[in-house]
Amino acid sequence: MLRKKKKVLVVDDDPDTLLVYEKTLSAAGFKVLKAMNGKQSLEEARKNRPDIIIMDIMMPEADGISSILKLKGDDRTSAIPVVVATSVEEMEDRTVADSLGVAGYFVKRANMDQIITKIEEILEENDRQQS
Amino acid sequence: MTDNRADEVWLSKGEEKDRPDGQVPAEQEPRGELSRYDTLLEGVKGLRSKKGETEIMDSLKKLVEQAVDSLSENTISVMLNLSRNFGKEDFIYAHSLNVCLLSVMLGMRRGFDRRRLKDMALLALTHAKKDIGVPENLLKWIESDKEMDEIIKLSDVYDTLTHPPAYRHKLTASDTLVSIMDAYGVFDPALVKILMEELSFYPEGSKVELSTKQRGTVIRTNKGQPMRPVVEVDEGGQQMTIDLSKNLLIHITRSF
Repeated sequence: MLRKKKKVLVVDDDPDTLLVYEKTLSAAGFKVLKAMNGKQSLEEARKNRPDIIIMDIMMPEADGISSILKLKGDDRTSAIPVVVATSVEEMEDRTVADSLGVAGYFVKRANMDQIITKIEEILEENDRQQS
Repeated sequence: MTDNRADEVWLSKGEEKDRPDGQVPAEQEPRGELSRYDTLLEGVKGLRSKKGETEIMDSLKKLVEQAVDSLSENTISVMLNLSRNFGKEDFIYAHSLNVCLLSVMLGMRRGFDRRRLKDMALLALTHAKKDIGVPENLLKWIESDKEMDEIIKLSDVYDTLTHPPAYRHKLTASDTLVSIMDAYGVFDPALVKILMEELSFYPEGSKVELSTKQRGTVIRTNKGQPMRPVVEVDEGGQQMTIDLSKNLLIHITRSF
């Protein structure tokens, strides 16, 4: 369905979670880039320009929301859609994420097939808007 | 019982009468305004117990009147409450109130008239509608505009970063302002400038380290100099006060 290999940057402080994302998303045909904190995610996003970023909102070192602010405030990365991954169903700060233009949300324990479908939907929508 | 909370909001206005000509020593201001903030907070928490849209609307309007009055009379001491921390049970109510107060402050600086201020305050207070017990379509009659939306967005982001839910890392006021400045293009730069002028990078109670390597606590902010508050440090068992707005050779290197 997708013409060329899309790059997904996954940002999560848990190495096991990163490994799961890497295996599953690679198997689904994505090129997977990884970062373990907000600082790394900014460097990776600026250097390798992913097509989409999956951002854990609960990282201890650099807060996910402030990382999204930095991404949205940088011309090199502002157009990259960001999907927020969270461990809780009720995101109390969802209004903020919404107003910063987050492309979507999913709960981490969701089925990986559902997560992949969500990523593909967002990428297709993004392609449509840019063409 | 359900009506009492809104009445208490109005009764609190009488607290001002006992002050001699409004001359209150600076260090005593937060004490008086704290109860005013708490009264507003009780009013927001009380919205859930209101029955029917008319009663909720009535309470909301009274709360907004009181919020605008409080800020018109004494902006600095009301804003001091924004750095307070709240438990999980009060989180969404305090956040809603803080977004409302910040938005009104920004609107005042932008020269909004009272009617527009109150409309925006209603939208800001209820931006997390169902979470504080306000029906989804209750305020659809208010005509929002781009400037109001920008103000509420900035206020929401500022308060969310400084008062995160339990599952997220808390940022200091200075880190939050830096994050907001980093997000060039996300916010209206003129609004960010006002926010920086009005809110200290280091609110009262912030733990800071100075360029002299001394560690201390911010005991007072200096209006117009958000990075140069008054800091109390412990110097060999003796408390020493350093006003960074006067002592320009020393600066804050980090906060905790």
